[in-house]
Amino acid sequence: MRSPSSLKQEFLKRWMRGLQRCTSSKKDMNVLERKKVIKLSADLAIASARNGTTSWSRALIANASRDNDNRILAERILGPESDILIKRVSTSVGTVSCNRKIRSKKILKRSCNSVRRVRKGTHLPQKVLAKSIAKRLVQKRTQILKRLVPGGEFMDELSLIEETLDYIAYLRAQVDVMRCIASATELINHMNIGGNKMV
Amino acid sequence: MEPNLGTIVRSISIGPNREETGLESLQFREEIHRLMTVPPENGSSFTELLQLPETQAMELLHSPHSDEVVPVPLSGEPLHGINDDHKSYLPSFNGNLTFPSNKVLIERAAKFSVFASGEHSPETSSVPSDSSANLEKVKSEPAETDSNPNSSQLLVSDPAVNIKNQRSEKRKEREKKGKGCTKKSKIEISQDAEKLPYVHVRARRGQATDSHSLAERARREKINARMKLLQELVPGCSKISGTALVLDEIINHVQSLQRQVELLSMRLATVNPRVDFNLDSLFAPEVSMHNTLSSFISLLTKKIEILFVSSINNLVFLLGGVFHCTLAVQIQIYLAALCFSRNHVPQELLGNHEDDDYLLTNTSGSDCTFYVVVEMGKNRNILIQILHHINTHASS
Repeated sequence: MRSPSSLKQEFLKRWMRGLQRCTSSKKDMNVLERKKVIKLSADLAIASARNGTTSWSRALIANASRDNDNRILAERILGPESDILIKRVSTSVGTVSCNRKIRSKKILKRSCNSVRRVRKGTHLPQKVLAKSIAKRLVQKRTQILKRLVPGGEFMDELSLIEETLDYIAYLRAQVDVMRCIASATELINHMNIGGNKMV
Repeated sequence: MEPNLGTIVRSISIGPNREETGLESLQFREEIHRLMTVPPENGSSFTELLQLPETQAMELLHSPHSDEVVPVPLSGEPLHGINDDHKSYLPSFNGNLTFPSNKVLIERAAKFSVFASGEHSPETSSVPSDSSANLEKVKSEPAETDSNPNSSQLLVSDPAVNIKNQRSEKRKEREKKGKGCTKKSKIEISQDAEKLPYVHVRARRGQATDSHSLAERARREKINARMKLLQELVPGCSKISGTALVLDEIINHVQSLQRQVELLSMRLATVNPRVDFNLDSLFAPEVSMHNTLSSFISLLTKKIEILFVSSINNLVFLLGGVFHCTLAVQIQIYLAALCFSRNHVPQELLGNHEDDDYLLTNTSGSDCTFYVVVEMGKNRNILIQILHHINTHASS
């Protein structure tokens, strides 16, 4: 994995560039719009930093470009290389959605079977009961995790865990950079105000 | 001699349950039950024992087994010890089981015989049921109890099935199963595997050995390895055991990170009147036009000081400004910043303007919009020095 600091720098660079690109259009935006723009550009920044190598980045980009009003913004933020990226993302997402139906059927079958098996055995030994309970707990949690990680709903466990690893690393870098810039900005604002008052 | 030993062991394993009465039988059964739960932990050491004598196990399997079962002890000495023990044990069998070594032997015999039968039906807990069927395994037990690495046959439930299921891909599973194996034994195994026409799959005690479960086990081990990585990544997760709880922690962590992103973007949105906050609003009142480089640099150093003091260490932040300066000075600043950022290696960056993560410059005319993305911390002093240097250099 890349070092966290290089990840942060990459993210920052892309984020700033994306922000630059999208602010040239509108001059006045209210807070919510700004927030949306900031978040969107941040997400796209890191997603493009991964360059479509990981599934969650592709899913992020796909989600961003799904709504029409977001799409234009996203395209502009991504900049000149957006076409290639979006094409790649859409093709990969398309294959995923094709597999979706097949996979969901399999999952349904499997879950039905397991439920049937558990209910049949009226007298199950303790060990097996405990195991099935534990399994169900783990399954519930993996479902929640799948919902959290973007694009994680149609992945098997192994790749889900890998994606989560990546995603957590990214989120951490994003949070660090944003927090730093937020506090720096606030500080400088204080400084400016203080300086002005002093002068 | 050897068949005698076998029969002796057999009788011992079956004997206690038929000839004991009352309390002794209860005690013994309890001990056996207790020991039956113990083996899973000993499984790794058991496979350690098993792993080593592969070639010998191979030969044994292929040697024709007649009705009489041939035990495998490959070293004579421990057997003598066992014989003596057995001999001394038998006469006093009616009494109490106070010979510790024999007791251990018997318990282990019982344990292994039960466990071997347990491979087929893990729920059964009766000792004598399958002891006759598992004579082979019981007999191989004495050598193992002496922890003699050269002993034993394969104690896999279906040796025949085992042989049939060999593929070269199983070699990986087998090596994976060798937990607790020393490196040397692993190397031996791989070497042995190369020589053999097919590969033996060495299942752990009490586990099925068909291809599906093996593949599943490999998959599970992969998943567990990744989960360990995740545990290390998420703070406070390394002490928790159990997949569900670890997943809980991970979910909480991801959710909190996502929420933080939302909050921070909200915060950034409120702080700045414009979205491109890093461009002008950071330095708006002061920056309008710096006529001299020195004032700009002094401003920068002040900012660095302040930002550093406010404990934004080791993080990325922006210094920016607009000022008048000649092109030469701009280039100088550029190089100095690069030099700082790349730890004093400016030469290679002279022609490499695209590859600056650290510097976004936007020069138009005599103005230089100048942003240095800098990773601060212990490098702060260096940056200040460089800026000072630029200052003196430019003014001269």
